[in-house]
Parts: sequence; C-alpha cells; structure tokens
Amino acid sequence: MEDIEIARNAKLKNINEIAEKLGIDEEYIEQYGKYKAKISNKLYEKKKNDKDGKLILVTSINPTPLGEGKTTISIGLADGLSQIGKKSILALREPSLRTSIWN
Amino acid sequence: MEEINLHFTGDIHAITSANNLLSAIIDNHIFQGNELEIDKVIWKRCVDLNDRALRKVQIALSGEKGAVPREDGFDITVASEIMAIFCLAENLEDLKKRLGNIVIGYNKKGEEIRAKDLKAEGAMTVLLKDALKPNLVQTLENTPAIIHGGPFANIAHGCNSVIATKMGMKLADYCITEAGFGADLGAEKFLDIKCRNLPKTPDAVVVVATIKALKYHGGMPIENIKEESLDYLEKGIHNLLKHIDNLKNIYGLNVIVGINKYITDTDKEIDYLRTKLEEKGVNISLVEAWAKGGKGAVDLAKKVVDLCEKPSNFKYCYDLNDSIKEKIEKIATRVYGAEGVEYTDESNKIIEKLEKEGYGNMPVCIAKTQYSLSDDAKDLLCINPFKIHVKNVILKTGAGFIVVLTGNIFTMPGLPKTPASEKIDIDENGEIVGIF
Repeated sequence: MEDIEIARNAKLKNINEIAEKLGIDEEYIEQYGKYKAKISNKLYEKKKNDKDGKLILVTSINPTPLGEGKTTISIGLADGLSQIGKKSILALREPSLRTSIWN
Repeated sequence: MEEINLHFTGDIHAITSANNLLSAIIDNHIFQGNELEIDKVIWKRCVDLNDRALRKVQIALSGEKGAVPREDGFDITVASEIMAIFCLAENLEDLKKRLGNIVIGYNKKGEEIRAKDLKAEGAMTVLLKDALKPNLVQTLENTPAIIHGGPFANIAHGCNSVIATKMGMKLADYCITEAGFGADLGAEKFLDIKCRNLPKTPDAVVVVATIKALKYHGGMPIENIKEESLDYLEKGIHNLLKHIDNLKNIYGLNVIVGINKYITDTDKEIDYLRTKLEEKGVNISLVEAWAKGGKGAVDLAKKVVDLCEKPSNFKYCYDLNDSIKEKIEKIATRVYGAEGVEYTDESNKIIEKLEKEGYGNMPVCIAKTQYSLSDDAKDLLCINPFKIHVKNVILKTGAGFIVVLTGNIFTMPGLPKTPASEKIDIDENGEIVGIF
C-alpha cells in the first residue's frame, strides 16, 4: 500500500474525542473540520502551574540522501508509548506547501 | 495526510500575509514621502512556493509619481524571520513585541529602522492571532499530535513552536518533539536557542540512524548500499558517535540510539553497531515503526521511559555572556569538532559593530551545510582537521538571535527539472493522487 492509502484507510477519530482523551475542555477547542482543531492558548494559562510531562527530543546523524526516518521514529515512539499504556503526545513542525507538493 | 500537507489550518498563509503586510507598509511609507528617510530596505517579501525566479526582483516599476523602483527579493515563507519569531514567542504579547523589533532596513545615517517605527506590529499580530494557537491532530493510531510552526533549520532554529511544546508537556506525561536536520544543527539549536525559552530541558534524547546511512557516511557508494559491509559501517559510525558524545558530554543529557530498521540490515551489522555503542555506555533500540507502527517501537518506548527516570545534568554549550566569537567558536570546536574558525573581513566588521551596539548577549544561529559536521557538504568522513569559515553575520532582532552564515544558503529554493507537481492530480471524485 502506498503511504497515502494507509493514511486514508486508518480510522481517524473525531478530533473532539482526541481532545477529550487529553482532558481538554470543549471551550478550549476550535474545530477545523472533523480531524483538526486549534487549542486556545488560554488553556496554557489555566494549566500553567500543573506539572510538566517528560520531554523527549528526537534528533539524528547528519542527513544523507537515503533519509533517516526521524519523523517515522518520533511517531512510532509516541504510538509505542501509547501501546505500553503511557499518555503521550507529539509536538512536531508543520510541513509547508513547498515541501509536500512542489519538490 | 492531505489535510496536513496542504493548507492545513492556514498558519503558513497567515505568516506569509504578515510578512508581506510589512513589505507593503515599507513601500507605502517610501511612496508617501519617506518621512523616516529609509535608505536601504533589507526586509524581503515571501511566498510558500519554490520559485527561483523570485530570488531577485525589481519592484515599483509603474512609473507613477512617487514610485521609487528598488531591488527586492522573495524568500520562502519558512525562511521568513516571522516564522522564527512565531516559533519562539511565548504568547500574543511577546509575539507583538518581537514583531515590532524586526529591523527592516537603515536610514541615510545607517541607523536601524524597525517595524515598530512604521507602527506595523499591531496589524501584523492581528493577522497571526489564530495561527498562534497550536493545532491538534492525531497519528494513524490515534495518538494526539500538536503540529505547529516550522522554521528553516539553517538560517533559523528549525524547531516547532515554543507554545506547542509547552502545551504538549502540560497535556501528556511524555511529549515527543523533533529538531530539523542532524544533531549538529537541529539539536544544537533546540538546546542552545529554544530551550532558553522552555521551562525545562529534555529528559531523554533519541538519536536516529540507519545502517544504510552510516555506511553512506563511511563512503559506501549509494548503488551498493544494500550490501553488507562492516568496513564502511566502521568508517561511518564516527558520525553517530560524535553526536552521542556531544549530547552526553557537552549537554549532559540521557541518550539512546534508535535504529530505523530495514530488511537489508544484516545481523552482523546490527551486532557490530550494538557492541560499539555498548562500549560507549549507550543503549540501542531497533525500531520497525515504518512497517509495524507503534508495535514496532514498543522496545524503544520502554527504554525511553527508563531513560527519563535517570537524572540529567544539562549544560548549555555556551553562555549568553560569552562574546559572539566565543559562542561561534564553542559551537564550532565542541559540537562540530572543528579546530578553529576563520572570518571574512566583512563578518569581522559586523561582529565588532554588533558587540559595540550591545547585541553581544544574544544566542547565535549557525547556518551550515546539514550533510557534514564541517562546512564542506562533501566531507562526510571529517578525518582531516577542518576549520569553519564564517562568511557573513545577520542580526535578527525580532527572533532574538544572530545568524552566522558559513556558506551560501538559499532562502528561496528552486524546483528540480521534473517537479513532483507533474504527478499530482485529482480525479472526478475529488480524490487526490501523487502526494506522499
């Protein structure tokens, strides 16, 4: 299967369900369609004094034309942590039009 | 996936608009009589497309009374200082303050003119108001993901937004984040720039490598890369070991190696790598997430959980009170392994001026080739002693760092002879093909 077919076949949940799993109150969520939402920065203000979770940085050797799979491992690690029952979240960069389409 | 790869929630368009609003304000100011006596504009326009024809353009050619033709240029949006500012800003107020601090050019006396002199920062912040809220999505296995901001990793710091990372740490017990390119550029900037704006430093670092890429670093020709070779692996492993050594000994962090496993990797190669890393006291995990998803990374997940419990003793590579040159030299010698730094006369002059004007206490953001630890993209082995060559220095007062250029960095890439766009299409049902 091509990557995009895998993506289309995956059963995505409504983003509200994902937000709920994170304990985010509805008032802090602005939905952009079914699968995307913006989180209000007021939520951070509210949670400012809560304990921070563990921070894990994923980096790599110097890149080669073969590709190292940094993002594959980041996503795998977050999913792997979910698999062993840990509450995990990814914080990644957003791709721009130029990288996804025109190169 | 298409939803993330295309317009997403419009953040990048908002950044493009804010950038170009500033350009429009500048040229309007000049058109309306140029009260501030703007003599040299350094602020460029931007667009989120690879369009090399826009690297240098002539503008204001209409011939209208008051139109002052001048040379301008376009950067891609991710190279805009606004993207870097967006990713370092703590909140809306900090964003506005940083936008106001952008140096857009100089007057006839050579004095800086900032965006706030044009009263531009308020309107620019309005355009970015919604974009500044982090975006929540999910992985194919329904793990939450915040995707927010994405600056260049050479002329900028190459990390997602501070706001998103801070939010992530409040929402879950484990927040996984990334830095662009290799650890010499991405991790160095994550640690020396971004972490100065975060409430904490990483509890664990995963260094990603593949057996194939390590053999490539050892000089193995790409057409033979799938063949077993302990020889090339042995030559190429130095790259991985240098990054591990930096993260452990310069920064004092807990490190694990994640090997993105391919079917062509042999047991002998894996055993060799494991032994070498164990000698250095570094754990390794074989990850098959590409084929098996989260199940393929359970071993890594368990090891990361353990690693996070170990105490770390974080130290920055340089102190903000070091001089600009001391900072550059510490990164070059300690992180890259260079024997020293050479400066052009031009960069010496700029550094001296910046120190005199009181900008010496900013972090530095080195733009260097991502392919090698040195500034020579072809020198993968780095066996011979090398120096880092500083060609130019640019102050980014909004982002709050000093960019140090070690070569020509294109801030507007071009398309290849056969662009991917030729394969992208949409069928009668609205299904997109050709985007990966």
